[in-house]
Amino acid sequence: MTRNLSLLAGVVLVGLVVGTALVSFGWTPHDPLLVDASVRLLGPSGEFVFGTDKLGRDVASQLMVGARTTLYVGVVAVGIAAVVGTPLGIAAGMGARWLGELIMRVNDLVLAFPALLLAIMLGAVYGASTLTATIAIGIATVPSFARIARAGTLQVMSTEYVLAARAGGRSRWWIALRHVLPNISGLVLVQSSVSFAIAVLAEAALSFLGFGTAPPTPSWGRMLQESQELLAVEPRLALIPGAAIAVAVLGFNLLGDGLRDRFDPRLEVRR
Amino acid sequence: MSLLSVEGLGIAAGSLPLVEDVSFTIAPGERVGLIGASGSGKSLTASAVMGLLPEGLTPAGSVRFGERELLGASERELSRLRGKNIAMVFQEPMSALNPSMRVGRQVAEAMSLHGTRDRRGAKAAAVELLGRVRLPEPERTARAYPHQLSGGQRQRVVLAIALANDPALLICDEPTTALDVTVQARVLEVINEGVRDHGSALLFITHDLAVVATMCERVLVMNEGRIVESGSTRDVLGSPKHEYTARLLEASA
Amino acid sequence: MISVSELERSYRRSRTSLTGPRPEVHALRGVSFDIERGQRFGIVGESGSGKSTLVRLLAALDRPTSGSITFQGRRIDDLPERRLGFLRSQVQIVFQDPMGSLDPRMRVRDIISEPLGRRPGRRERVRELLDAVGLPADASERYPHQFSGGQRQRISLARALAPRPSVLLADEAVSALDVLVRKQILDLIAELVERYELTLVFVSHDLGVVRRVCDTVAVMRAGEIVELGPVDEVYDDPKHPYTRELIAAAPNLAAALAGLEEE
Ligand SMILES: Nc1ncnc2c1ncn2[C@@H]1O[C@H](COP(=O)(O)OP(=O)(O)O)[C@@H](O)[C@H]1O
Ligand SMILES: Nc1ncnc2c1ncn2[C@@H]1O[C@H](COP(=O)(O)OP(=O)(O)O)[C@@H](O)[C@H]1O
Ligand SMILES: [Mg+2]
Ligand SMILES: [Mg+2]
Repeated sequence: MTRNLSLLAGVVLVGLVVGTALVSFGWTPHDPLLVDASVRLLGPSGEFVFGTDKLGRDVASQLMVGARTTLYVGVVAVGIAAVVGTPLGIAAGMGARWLGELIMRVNDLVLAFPALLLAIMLGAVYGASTLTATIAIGIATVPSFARIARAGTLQVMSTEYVLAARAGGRSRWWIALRHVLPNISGLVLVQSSVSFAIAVLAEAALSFLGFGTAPPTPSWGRMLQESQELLAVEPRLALIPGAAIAVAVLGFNLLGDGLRDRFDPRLEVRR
Repeated sequence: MSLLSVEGLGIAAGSLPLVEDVSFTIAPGERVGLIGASGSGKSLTASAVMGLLPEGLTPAGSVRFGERELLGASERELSRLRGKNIAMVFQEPMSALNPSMRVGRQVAEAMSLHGTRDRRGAKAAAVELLGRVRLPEPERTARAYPHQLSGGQRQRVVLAIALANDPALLICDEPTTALDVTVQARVLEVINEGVRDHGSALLFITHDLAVVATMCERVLVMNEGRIVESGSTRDVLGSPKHEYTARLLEASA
Repeated sequence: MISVSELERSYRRSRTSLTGPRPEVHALRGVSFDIERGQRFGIVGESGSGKSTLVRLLAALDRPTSGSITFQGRRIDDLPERRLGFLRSQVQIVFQDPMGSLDPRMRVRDIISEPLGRRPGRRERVRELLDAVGLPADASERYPHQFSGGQRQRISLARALAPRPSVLLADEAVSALDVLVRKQILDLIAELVERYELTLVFVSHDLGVVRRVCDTVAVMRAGEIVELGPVDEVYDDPKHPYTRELIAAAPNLAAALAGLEEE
């Protein structure tokens, strides 16, 4: 019962973020970038649902457009990580022993290298932007995919249906594409959801520190950063983007948990 | 006076009947076999007696243990009986053991949980019990984790746990199906001795007629959720009345 | 047909302690035998005796530590995968676990035609094979979990027969089945072996089962063959004490019933 519940809650929260981002393409209550000194630091009202910031921009509109940044970062970073990490993991699980060792050692190396440092380096060379932050997060996430894919591959490779395929003269490529990939897709999906949550958080952190999304593009991390100096007088400006980040992270984590329960055969009900 | 009496037991998944109108009794110390092909409803019947039916399945009828009605009894009442008065051994020994706990402690906990022994006494008694189910070097085995033991050894640990509180009824659900013939022979011997020494009654589920013939004095034959034949092992297997029993016999010869 | 000589295979276990050498498991220690064309060769022994290791070597899915295997006069134990093509259609396997030996994400038709590659006429062949193993034609569109254990073993048999092999290896193929289904699958194996003139290598821990389908039996213990001969001879007049132990351990219905009669 609880497993369906977390899946449902995950779908609802993620749906909320995705829905907000989609709506923001067509409509926002105000122009999120419009600076208007006459309406600075207004509290929530009928016109400005979440109030305005120190430059008089509408917080609700910024929040909506910020959801786009969040999803963009998540999709691209997780995409990079999955597309690079999964084949690496499969190769490590199926290839010669030395290849597997090599891939996993490099993997450990990348894992030990903080995403933050990578983002700072990329930012220094190419200028800090959403894209450099996203690529840094993507690269830093590759090892988790390689690892999970390798574990799944080793398990599939030890099954009798793979032995039977080999006895039938099937090549490694065939086995990788027809047996391994479909059977580890569930694991990869779960990892994607969990990594998505981590990526969202990482983007917020990088933007907060000034190594991510640059002004004026709205991003939840940047909203949080800009709220900093007014934290004592206007905590609202920190709490609102903070809550949005929490909703997105919680949503993807719950989704991941729910999917894990559906895909993990060890938790399958005994018949 | 019967120890267990099952009357008109039915089990359904929604509107789909899985077990229908099953009735039998077991006297104290009696050894009864329940045989039938896989999918015939043997495990469900045993689960219903234990009050351990999977979610979504509903029982009907009556299951009485001594004076007590078990169908509809509270979970608290059932859990006090389980492991103490009625114990069960499953087919897959690994899933019945906690992989992260030493087996000696698992046996000891089974005793202290039901207050049969205090903590210190339980520890010594556990080692003794592991010896009684003929595990080699019981002191050392007590300190092993389940994955360090072979399938047959694990099943003996499960049996030791089941016998820990001298249950009045021991239910074994295909306890040796996952084991080799040589190991099976040893485990069966241990079950035999166990129920004899503890004076327990036995409900032994299997699809192997030769096993039931060596273990049980009476058999129930189950097919498609119903008991189609019952009687003394000699009568049922010697001159089967039901066509299904005859087919089982022919396939086993 | 198959000739095995002084076959050894040892596995390295993972370390149990930081110091000291990695322990080795000798799964096979010097196994030799010959299998003639059309023979039905049984291998019995308790679990861990090396039966599955031997089967994997016969199918060239693994390499021996030492010793040789020849198939129709050609050595196969030292050939690289790309030169094993001739063997891949000739030798096929059926495994014990009815669930684990079929890919849960493939349809039955894809499972059965897997060893066929891109050969034309695959569909007809699948239909033919389903019929040969006693499954309905509409089974081909379904997935493994929609079948019972016995039916899944039929699917495994169909897959094994697809490339028209001359040798069928069965590793505990009926051990997970209950008596009625076991008898059906044993009968089916016997029938298929007859019809397609297969050489059968049949592995089981149960001598009684081997006796039903094989003409010759090798008894294995701890990686060695302790007794080898015609199955009835071995069964009725076992020479090795371990064989006697195996026979005594197997539950025997006739004996048990006779025991009941006496009471
Ligand atoms: N949780 C469940 N939900 C629905 N059907 C079930 C469930 N558990 C078992 N069954 C069905 O009930 C029948 C009897 O199962 P079982 O008692 O396990 O048989 P046996 O132990 O004799 O092999 C089978 O057809 C099985 O598929
Ligand atoms: N891949 C492996 N790695 C390490 N040890 C193995 C491996 N496969 C088998 N063994 C060991 O080799 C021995 C023989 O195993 P196996 O051939 O599976 O026996 P059987 O099929 O008769 O049960 C056992 O001790 C087993 O633990
Ligand atoms: Mg059962
Ligand atoms: Mg084996």
